[in-house]
Amino acid sequence: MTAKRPFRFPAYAKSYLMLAPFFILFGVFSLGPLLSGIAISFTKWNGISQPTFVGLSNYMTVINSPRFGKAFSNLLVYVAVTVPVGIALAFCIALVVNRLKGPVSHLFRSAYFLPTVIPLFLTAVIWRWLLTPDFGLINMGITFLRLPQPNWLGDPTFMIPALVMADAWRATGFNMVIFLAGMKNIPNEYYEAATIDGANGLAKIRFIMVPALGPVFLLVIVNAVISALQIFDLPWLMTNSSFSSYGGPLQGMLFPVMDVMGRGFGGRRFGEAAAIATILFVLILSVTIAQLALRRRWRVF
Amino acid sequence: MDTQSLTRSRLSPMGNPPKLISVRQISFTGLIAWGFALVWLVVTTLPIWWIFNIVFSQGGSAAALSPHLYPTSLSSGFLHLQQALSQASFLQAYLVSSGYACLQVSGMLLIVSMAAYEFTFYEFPGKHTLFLIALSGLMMPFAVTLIPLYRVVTALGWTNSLQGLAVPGMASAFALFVLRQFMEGIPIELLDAARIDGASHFAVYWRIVLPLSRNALLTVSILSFIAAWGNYIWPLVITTKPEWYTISVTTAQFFGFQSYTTIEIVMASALLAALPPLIVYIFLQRYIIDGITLAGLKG
Repeated sequence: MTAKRPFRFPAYAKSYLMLAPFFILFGVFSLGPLLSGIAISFTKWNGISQPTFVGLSNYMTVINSPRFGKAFSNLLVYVAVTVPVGIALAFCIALVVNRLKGPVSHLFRSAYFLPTVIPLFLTAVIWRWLLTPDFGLINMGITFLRLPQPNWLGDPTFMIPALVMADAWRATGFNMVIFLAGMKNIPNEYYEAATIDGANGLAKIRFIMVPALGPVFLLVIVNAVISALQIFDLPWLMTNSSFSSYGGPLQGMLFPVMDVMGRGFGGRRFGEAAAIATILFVLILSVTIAQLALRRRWRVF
Repeated sequence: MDTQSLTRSRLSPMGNPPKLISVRQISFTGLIAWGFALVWLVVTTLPIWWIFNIVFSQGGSAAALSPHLYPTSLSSGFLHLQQALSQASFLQAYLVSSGYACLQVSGMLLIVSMAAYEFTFYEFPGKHTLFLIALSGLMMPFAVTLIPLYRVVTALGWTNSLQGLAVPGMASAFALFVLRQFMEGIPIELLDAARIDGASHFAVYWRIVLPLSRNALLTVSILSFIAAWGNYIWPLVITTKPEWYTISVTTAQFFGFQSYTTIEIVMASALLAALPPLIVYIFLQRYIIDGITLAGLKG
């Protein structure tokens, strides 16, 4: 017969105790909602009564609605323009800042990063105001150059370009900082070797810097695509949207997250809203998975 | 990308400052680079300068209609700022946003640093899986969790409250990632020495690890503060009573009804709304850049 030992918690019990607050909040406010969001997309729910299961009917309703097509075609155009434009700009600016030396480079870097710390809602309302016809700053400049004035936020042709401008203004500093960090991690010897081989500045960028920054480009592009897919604040506020009316004239600035908000909190059709969110989630997940696959291939090289 | 050495050298007080690589040559391309740098400098700063310009000018719509490139009246600028602050709704929103940001940052600091401490210094069953689950939060799109999150928070009865605004943002996977990276650089001998002196599991965390992680804690606090202050979509959803509107919702409304007040006062409100993140940026820029760099180069 063995003697009864008093019960003792294992040493790692303390660890679980310390981890508990994080994982409780994470489960209740992040992971749980992600899973239940998918569940809500299969139900009819007005936010008050109990949700009832309706199968795939939300997806059918949503996909067949013209607004869904408009939101996703806008999104496609926006992503296709803003990602290459924004990243090319950020890369060029990082190149320039990387060249400058001393306190001047510090000053430039600080100024370039400034728009990133301005709250996004302010960027949106300020740009709406900068883009107003006649007395907005941008059209005053255009008038000064004696060019015709575009009606940026009224004419659907110009709405996505306006959005791309506002986003480039805001996001370039952010991507620049990441490129700069990547550039500083490239060993100096690479450039010295290239100099001995007689490479000029452009050749060094083309044959040393760009290949060495491959993984950084991948990360910046993926981050840009994922955040572009979720764009909300800028178009919502630039078109002065509300839950009942959003997207601007001819829905030229209608995007999926805006439709999630409108259908959910405007129309109290939370099932449809969750269906759009789930479609968006599948898109984002596939981008993430593609990124992981690409990164694995990169390691082989 | 070697993020660990990057974090240690830039965030740790003991590391060396990073060296700048210069590919310098004075040439035609150099001139183009300078030109480009100056143009972009104007692009980034002009809109912000323009707001200053309008606030610090005589009233009426004159500033917008007949533009000048510099502020003309200091006294009317202060008058406009004062008028912006005297709007009861604006002051209230300022208070709500301050409370929201402070509550979110302090809660986040406590729970995330505790989790980072365990993940860095201890072994326990399921550690790897738990860490992967936590990191999945890095790629969890907020837009997707919005509707169900709203459901959870309304079920808790937290609409129109500080906890409803702040608590959902506390379990930040990003902060966990940054803090753990940093804590990996703390020498384990320091912890052992404290244990020999009889410090408990919690005391080691509270008296040794937390004080040594000061820089990383500051970095995540700043980024989380800026994010909370600027958050628009969540307050828009979770606040329905005007007295709970945050600075984002209130300022956006000022810009919405253009006839509500004069443009100078609207712009003065915008300037005041941008002030907290701007001040933080001016004085603590290094921490923001370090945090962003780490976030960007993760993986």
